[in-house]
Amino acid sequence: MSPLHRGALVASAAAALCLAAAAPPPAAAPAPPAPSAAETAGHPSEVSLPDTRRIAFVSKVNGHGYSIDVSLPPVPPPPNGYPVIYVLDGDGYFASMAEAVRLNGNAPQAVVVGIGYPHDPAWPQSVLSKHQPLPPPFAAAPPFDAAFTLSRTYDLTLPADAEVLKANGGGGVFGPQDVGGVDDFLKTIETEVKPRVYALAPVNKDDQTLFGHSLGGLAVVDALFTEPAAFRTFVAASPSIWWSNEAVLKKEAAFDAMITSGKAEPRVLITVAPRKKPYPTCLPRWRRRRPPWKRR
Amino acid sequence: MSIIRHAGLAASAAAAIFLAAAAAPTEPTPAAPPSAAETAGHPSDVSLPDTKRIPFVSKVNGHGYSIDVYLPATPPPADGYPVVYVFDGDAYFPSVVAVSQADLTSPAIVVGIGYPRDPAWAEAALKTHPNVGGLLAATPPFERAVSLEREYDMSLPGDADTIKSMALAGATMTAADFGGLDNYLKVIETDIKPRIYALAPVDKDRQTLFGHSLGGLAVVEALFTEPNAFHTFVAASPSIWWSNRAVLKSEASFDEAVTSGRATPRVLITVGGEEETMPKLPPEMAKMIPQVKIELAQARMVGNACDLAKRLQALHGAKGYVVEDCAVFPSLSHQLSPWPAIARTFAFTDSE
Repeated sequence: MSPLHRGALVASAAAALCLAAAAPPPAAAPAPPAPSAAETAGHPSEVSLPDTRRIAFVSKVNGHGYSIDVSLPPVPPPPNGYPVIYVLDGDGYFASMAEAVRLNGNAPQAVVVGIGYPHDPAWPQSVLSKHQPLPPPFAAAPPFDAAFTLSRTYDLTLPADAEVLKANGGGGVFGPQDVGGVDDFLKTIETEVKPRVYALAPVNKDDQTLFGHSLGGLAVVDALFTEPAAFRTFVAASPSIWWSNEAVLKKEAAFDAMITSGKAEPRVLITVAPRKKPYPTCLPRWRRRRPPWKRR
Repeated sequence: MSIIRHAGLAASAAAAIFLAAAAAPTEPTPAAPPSAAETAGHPSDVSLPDTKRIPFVSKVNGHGYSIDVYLPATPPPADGYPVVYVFDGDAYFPSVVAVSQADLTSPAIVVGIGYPRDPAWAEAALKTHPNVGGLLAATPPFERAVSLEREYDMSLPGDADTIKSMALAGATMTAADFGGLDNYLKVIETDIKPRIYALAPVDKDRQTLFGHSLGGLAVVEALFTEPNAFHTFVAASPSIWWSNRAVLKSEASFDEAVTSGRATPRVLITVGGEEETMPKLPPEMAKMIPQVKIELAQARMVGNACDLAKRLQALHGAKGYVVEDCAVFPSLSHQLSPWPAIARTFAFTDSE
């Protein structure tokens, strides 16, 4: 399970779906479960991805810790530099995007950047200390899982007030102080992530893509509306437009003006699975894992 | 000359249209600047948690293989974990693991079937394909060995036209370079499955075989010849065209196994909507366009895949026999169609 799905701790099933992460802990464990296959094997990490760098840093924008995974093309750069694809929720989607790019022989190879959180034993406590007292489901969770879900929910969302959060933002688990960090997160990408990527490889700054799913999709829509020239291509996969009574759409008019006046000309792709089943489709399941620094 | 059928050479833009293989190197021009990977010293900082890598030499055919295994971190279900076996593991294992992790319904063991990352293996493997030169000779030994071994392992015997079409500029391919598939399927049964059963409790009645391109051909062959070896078969963009559709010779015996109730497999066939469409080629490859057109028409990727799905759907099998509608992914090429196929695999196994 990736940290994405260890994300886990949201009280309501609807929130579980919409945050693409969530699964509350079981009410009562009937019997001690059998050890997992991963546990029995001692949590090995024998498979690694070729030509990848992992870089942890603390953002000067918001003081929060982050970690980026960067896939470096094994082929020479095009004359204008490599295109770049930035992937939100990198802990869940970096490997797939990097493989898809590598195998897509008909396109110029791109640098892929997964944006995630530090794989460092000190990191969870640094997050949890900012959210005291912890909302009840988080207090009982393994620290990395709790820190991951709290960080992701903060970084990828627009502000919401207490009433709205109670109604549709996680059943009251999150307070206004736990959400609303997306503007600083996007600034972190501009000022902390992009320069680190530019230092690693020759990059075509005019051919950069931002990809995000679920709350990450919401962050992409927010980036598109507020900084439509920051990337050439925006991909919002299953964006959580519903967040805080569709607060992100309040920025749409300003975006429209930039487009119609010719100030911005982004490329946009929005995807979603067809409405086949009534939601929620995520079965609640709390999946315990060792934190990454113990998985050696 | 059929550059486009060689996956390992995806460097040339058209390469890998039909065979999309493991990571494909390009030929650097002499003046080319170093790649970003080279500049960084080829680091591998990112590893996948809860994965094991197991190289072995097969008792069946004496060839070297390596499997990557993802072990779920949740306790096993009462009947054991389901398992998903993935051909071309060197290409798709990380992605299948990611989707498996995102699938909260039924955590599965994922097994990527590939080749040993060991120079001695590559050297030995290359000796078994002595005639191959030409364009392929310019690729690094490991990539070259993977390209040749996967084409051997996942193909039925090649007829003269197919062998000729698989030759690369300046290279000679012979019948000995193809036709290892039946042994390869035995390798899975006798060498690979027992290694997985030794690692974790497995639900032997819920095992899935996934393959793309030649791997998809291998899935169809497994379905037709051993329909009880797996519960679910996913053939993504299968190379049914191979050797004048030789794989279909086993279809009648499969039909009989289904209609008599001796086999009740679950089947999903997928393909990219653009797989019969002329890809954009760089200007220097313009002279290949006529040849690519011929090969696209001969391969008939979408038509062959969906015709097969329709025929299998028309069979009246016993309870449990399920064939999904042919899944055609709009606007996706052969190289990009594996990714939605991987997601559909889990949607299909969960739907049971």
